[in-house]
Amino acid sequence: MAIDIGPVKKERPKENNIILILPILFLILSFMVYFLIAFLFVPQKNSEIQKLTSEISNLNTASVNSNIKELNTAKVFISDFKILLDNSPKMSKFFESFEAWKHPQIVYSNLKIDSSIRNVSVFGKTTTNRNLMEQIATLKNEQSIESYELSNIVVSETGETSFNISLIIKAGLLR
Amino acid sequence: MEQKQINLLIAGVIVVLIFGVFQYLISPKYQEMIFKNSEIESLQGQIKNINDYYSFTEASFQKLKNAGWETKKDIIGANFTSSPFFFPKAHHLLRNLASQNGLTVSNITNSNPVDILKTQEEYKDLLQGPVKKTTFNLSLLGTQESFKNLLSTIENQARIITVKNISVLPVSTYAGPIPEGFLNFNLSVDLYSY
Repeated sequence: MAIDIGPVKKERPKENNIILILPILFLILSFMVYFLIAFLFVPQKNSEIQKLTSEISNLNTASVNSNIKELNTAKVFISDFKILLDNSPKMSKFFESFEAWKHPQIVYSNLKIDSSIRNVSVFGKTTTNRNLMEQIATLKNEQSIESYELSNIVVSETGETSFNISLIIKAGLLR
Repeated sequence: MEQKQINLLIAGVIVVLIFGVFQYLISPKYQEMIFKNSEIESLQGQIKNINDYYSFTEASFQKLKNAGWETKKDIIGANFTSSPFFFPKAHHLLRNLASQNGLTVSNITNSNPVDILKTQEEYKDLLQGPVKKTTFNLSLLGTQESFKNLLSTIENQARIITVKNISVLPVSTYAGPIPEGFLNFNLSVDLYSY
């Protein structure tokens, strides 16, 4: 009877293999994740960024820029025009109003108007001071006049009356 | 040393290696990817905003065109263009307006253009352009009716002419025969330019 004297194969326990295989698998997996991120995802993102950047630079077209320039010009022109127009008093309205409330028997002359302070000063002359009284009564009720001030009233022996009158017109009248 | 111990040692080394890979390779690249993602989002947002702005601009420009801006621009623009011929043009305009309304211009003088920001005007801070103001003083001769018509004409001009001061005086120094009802008018107006 023959006796086998060769080396006896020892079986490695399975748990020993798992201890080695699992970490190696994780290590391989880690490297795969790294390579995926570093050589696939990041370059993809880079090319996407490049594409979007070039898209942005292509958006600044000449026609859009000229439209924007024209709109800005229009905005400034229209805004300034409106402001200046709104602040330009309509002096003709004062003359219309003056015709309406001035006494027919008083002769007015030396009219001075300063539109910035809405001040009107005028010299008046009439045959009797009753006309001046009537004029004052009209001025008191006149809606377009904010205030008035009489000065240099001179009544002659014949009753002829001369005076200066200074008025502040309401802002609404000159709009 | 037993085989099992050797295996455990190698596994330990590999685990440390895995941590190293995560810490020094994967994590920085992952952070980089996150950063790139936010950069992409920001660029996409920018593109959307620019497109929205362009659409708004295009729509506004179309509205402006439909409102006849091309012709209105010339009318309004006359108030805000600077030209070396500003003074002769303004003198010509004022003389024309006066004569169209039956008034004789005996004299016109003007100030130098003043930056409106340096004036006392209440509305100066509301203006957007570099508006300059020039005052013109006109001495006129004519009837009160003609003068009233001149004021109405001035107010209806596309070119803004702001009436500052008016004085009406009897004619005293006029040489030659004076028609009845004629008066001397001193008119001070402001014209604007850029």
